[in-house]
Amino acid sequence: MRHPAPQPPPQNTKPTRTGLSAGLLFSALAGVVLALVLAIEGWRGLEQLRLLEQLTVMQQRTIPDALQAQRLVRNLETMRLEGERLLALPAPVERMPSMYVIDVIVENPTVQADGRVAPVLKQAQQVLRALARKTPLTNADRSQWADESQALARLADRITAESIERFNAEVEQTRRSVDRNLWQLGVSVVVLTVSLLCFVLALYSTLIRPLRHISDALAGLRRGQHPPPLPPGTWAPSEIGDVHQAMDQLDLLMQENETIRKDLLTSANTDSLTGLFNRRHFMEQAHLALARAKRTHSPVTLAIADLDHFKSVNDTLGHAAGDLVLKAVAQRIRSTLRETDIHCRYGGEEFAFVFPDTALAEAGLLANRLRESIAATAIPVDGGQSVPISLSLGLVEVLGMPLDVALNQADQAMYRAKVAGRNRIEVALPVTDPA
Amino acid sequence: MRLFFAFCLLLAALGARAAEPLRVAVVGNAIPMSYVGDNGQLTGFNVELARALCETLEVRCEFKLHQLNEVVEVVAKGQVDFAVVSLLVTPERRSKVLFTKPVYRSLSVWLSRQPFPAAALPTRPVAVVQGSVQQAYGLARQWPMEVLNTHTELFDALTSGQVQAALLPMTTGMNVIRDGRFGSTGLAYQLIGEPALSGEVAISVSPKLPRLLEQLNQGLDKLKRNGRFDRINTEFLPFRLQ
Repeated sequence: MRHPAPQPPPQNTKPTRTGLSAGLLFSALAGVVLALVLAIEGWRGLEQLRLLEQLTVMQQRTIPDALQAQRLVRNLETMRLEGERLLALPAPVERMPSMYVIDVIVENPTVQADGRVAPVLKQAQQVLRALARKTPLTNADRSQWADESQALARLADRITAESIERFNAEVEQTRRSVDRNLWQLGVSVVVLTVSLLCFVLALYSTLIRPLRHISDALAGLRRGQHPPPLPPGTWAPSEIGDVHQAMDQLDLLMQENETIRKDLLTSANTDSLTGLFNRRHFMEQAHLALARAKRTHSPVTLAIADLDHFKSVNDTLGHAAGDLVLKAVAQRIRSTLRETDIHCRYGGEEFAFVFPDTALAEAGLLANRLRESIAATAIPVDGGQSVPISLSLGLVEVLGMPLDVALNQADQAMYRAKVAGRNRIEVALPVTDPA
Repeated sequence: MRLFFAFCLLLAALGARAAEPLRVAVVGNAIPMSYVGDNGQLTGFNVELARALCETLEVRCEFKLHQLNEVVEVVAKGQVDFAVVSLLVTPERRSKVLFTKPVYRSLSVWLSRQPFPAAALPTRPVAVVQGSVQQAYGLARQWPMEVLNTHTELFDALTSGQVQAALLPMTTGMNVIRDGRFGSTGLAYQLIGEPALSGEVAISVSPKLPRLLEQLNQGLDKLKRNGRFDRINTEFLPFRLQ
């Protein structure tokens, strides 16, 4: 029954460490993500400002300009109508109201300010002014006005077309701006998603996975397993490294505690001189063995042995020689008996044995082999002397009797062996359990 | 608690003020700008523009009829809140009242057998309307003038030969020329673009109401953007004012 020696903890592979703390790492990551968000939103914001500016231009310039163009066109058409009316009236005096409207239109500041319109209207005004005074009007006169009227109509079309074209251009520009904004929105969503995934991945690989590893390692520690190293190449922040170091220290401490506990247990159960079980531990083990035999109806034999004339060894050669003899006897007991046999130093030069699953006959053979082994060779002690020693044994097959009864019977048998001349084995008479 | 009551009183005062209609000065005899129609209702370009502005500002308005020569004074004294009368913006008027953004640009028209006397004095009286820039122009040049109170008197003065000529704003001048009787007078017209007789026409606002001025400017912008200004224009004038 040997205790296993404490094992040194395996060399733990430390996580790759940079000295960077998780706080710093995630602050930096959050900073990067924030900077990305700000950059993208700023980018989008600029485009939206541009869009807003375009809409403002459209509302404050393009639409009023379009309305103004419409007014110009209306004035051109009015001029054509008044011209037609003027030519339809026979007397110059009747033509005056139409000519007045035409003159007012030509003097309109918007008309005067428009380089496309002013010369055409001026030309038409001059033609009409000349025709307004003339009577009667010839076909050539009417044809001359028809040309001017056609020029006014073309100009009206041109102004309308240019106004619509400009409006279309503005709308197209706005549409492109909206398209860009949508595209930017897409980029923004992708970048933010990727950033978030990277953040989560970093969180998982640098904190969650090492923490899970630590959790498993702590569970293992409770089961007495050494903390396993992090998978090679795993990057972990300094806090995780610190926890791993602490775990290694805890593991070492637990190993030392276990060694101490086992040493204490060994000291408590073992006879310090011979290394055999002491009487207290033997009694516990013997009780268990007898109870088990009773439960399984298996045989069990108990023996008490006493070294013959041991007192004279102590008296003549001294206690040191006596101790050497006891150690040598213990060694021969260990080497002769089976692993399953229970044996102890029962008293000064007394030993006790339990042979589990062993009937009396077989136990007698074992006891005899032990007796012969001890008697066969003298035990060397200091000063080149050898001490011949022998053993008297009393055997009892327990057969369900209590331990103290069995011990007593074995003791009596051992005394009978002493009385009968020593270096022999006596068997106690079988006694059944009164219960 | 005192503060609360003060606040309630303020709200009540504001509510009472908000419930009062705005007083709008118009003239009643300047066809086609501002006149009493056949149905007895005030109408004309200026009147309809004023109605449109009041609707846009979501306020009730009450029209007050005034002679042209009174308009600047009643606005200046705050007897009306604003006047939608075709007043040319002049430095003298600007010193008394607030003016909105220009409504349109106006010219004057010279109705006479003789050409416009750019330098010389007219030999016989020139008809002008009391309080108009045309009157001020004649006064400055010591013209002999027949000062009339309303635009409607002008035609009678012209046709009767009481006056040699008339100097009018282009809009009312048009109405005179379009009158069937004008042909028989033998008069001709001449548009005058001299700075003193032409320029921007605007709505005059009481100097006590700068906030109203701002609201009227916004209202004008809105009417010019949403096409209502042009619809009123079409209703009363054969040409675009803008």
